[in-house]
Amino acid sequence: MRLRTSAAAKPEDAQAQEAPPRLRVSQEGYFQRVMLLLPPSIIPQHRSRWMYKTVRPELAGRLNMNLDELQNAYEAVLDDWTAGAEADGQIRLYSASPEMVDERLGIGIGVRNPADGAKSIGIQIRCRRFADLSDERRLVRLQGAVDRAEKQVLALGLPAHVIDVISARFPLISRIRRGHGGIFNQFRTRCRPLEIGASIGRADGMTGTLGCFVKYQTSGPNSTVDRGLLSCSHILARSYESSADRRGKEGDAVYQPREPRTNPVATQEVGNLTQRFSILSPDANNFHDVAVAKLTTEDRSKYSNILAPGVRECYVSGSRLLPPGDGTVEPLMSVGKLGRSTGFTEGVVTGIRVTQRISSQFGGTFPFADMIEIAAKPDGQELVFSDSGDSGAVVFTLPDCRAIGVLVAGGENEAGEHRTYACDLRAALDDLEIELV
Amino acid sequence: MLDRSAGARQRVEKAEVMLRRIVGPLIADDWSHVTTFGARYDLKTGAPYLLIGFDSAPPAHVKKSIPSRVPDAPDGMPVRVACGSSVRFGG
Repeated sequence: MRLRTSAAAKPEDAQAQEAPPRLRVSQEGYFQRVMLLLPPSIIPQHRSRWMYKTVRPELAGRLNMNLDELQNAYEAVLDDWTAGAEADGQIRLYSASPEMVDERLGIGIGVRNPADGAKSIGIQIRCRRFADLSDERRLVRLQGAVDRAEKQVLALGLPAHVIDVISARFPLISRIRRGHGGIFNQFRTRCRPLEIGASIGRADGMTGTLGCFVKYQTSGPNSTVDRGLLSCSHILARSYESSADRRGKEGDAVYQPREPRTNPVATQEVGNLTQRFSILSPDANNFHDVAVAKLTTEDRSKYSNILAPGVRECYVSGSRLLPPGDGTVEPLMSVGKLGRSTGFTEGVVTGIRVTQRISSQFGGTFPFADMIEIAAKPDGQELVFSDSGDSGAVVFTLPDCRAIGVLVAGGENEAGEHRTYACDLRAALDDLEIELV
Repeated sequence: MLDRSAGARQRVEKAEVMLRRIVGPLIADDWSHVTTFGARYDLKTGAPYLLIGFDSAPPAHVKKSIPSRVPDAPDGMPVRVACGSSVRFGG
């Protein structure tokens, strides 16, 4: 697809998963793939029993978390529990799909508790949009599974009422350590050398993904070719800010990993923002959301666009990310991406040249034109193609790994389907005068 | 089965233009409440359809006046009208 260049945006845990989703109680007696949504009224009185009290005391009582806070809380719990219990095989971690999170702000974590020799369930619940039980009931998908889960919950003596059972989703990601029940996504940790898919961001911004490595001609009399990393402008440059003072400036530090809550110690500056970034307009159509940071790490020349090197779980591992060609992006084309939150996922293009208005967590909406709309692969292992934190990931065709877009946004569209939106990479490269290394 | 021919692509583009012409006057060309617009493709069949999304439920007369298929468009392209989305930065 060849798109218009932007006028408004010039520089200024991999486990097998069956389908359909269902509840399964394993021989050991712990729940798998269960998400329990409880009537909000019962939570305060039993709060002390839930994991946030036990694992993260500072999070106890935080039942009004917004989506970002919830994501942070989930990461904090994940980090704490994997660090302490993974080796003992004591835990199973499950995450609800983002569409569920967004709708209901619920994360389910199934726990096998060796202390009582049996099992227990830790649940964090918050229903945001649905005021009462009757509203939630219409969301029940698998009545049989709900009934079975209800019996299990009663047998455990938990004061819970099962409202829904949904499929859990694990990131099909590189370097997930398996075998003991925990999952561990190394893209959220310190990656050296830097890799496509790694967690990056600025200290005062959101967490995103390192999309790819690029090169560009520096300005000035002693012009040279320099190397940088590419991600979203809303990640590296806070380009959603209406005031220029609050947007990123040339030289601003970019960190990897950018996990302030879960991994602050490992964070290290890896780049400085360049002038090459999109500025987002709330009033006019935006055509891309891309920024480049100059690499400041040692031996920059060794960074290349090799996908997931040395990772067996990812079949594109070792493939080179090809620059966008002149070919067209076609409907139902198979695509993939490597992202900080969901790792390697496969999807299908369901729309091209899409006009889509995207909301910012910090207020305002931004109209985008010529977006590529992507759905999770229908027969794949993932329920969604992307999740919060995957912004900046480069979307590439499969199986040839040709870059076509940069992941910008996601969520439920107007038709109630989870979709991911990517801007056209070719247009961004042309506008910002950069190219893939 | 998805028709990947240039002709099919042109038919979709033409239907988009025609729908835009129909919807424009209905909303007094104020597209600020339109959150999405454009062709989508059914994941199972590959059949194209046009999706127009509003940030909240459109006025009844607007909704009623948007045809379920683009009249005069080749193949009578289906139109879906929807409202409310949670698409936000961050994937």
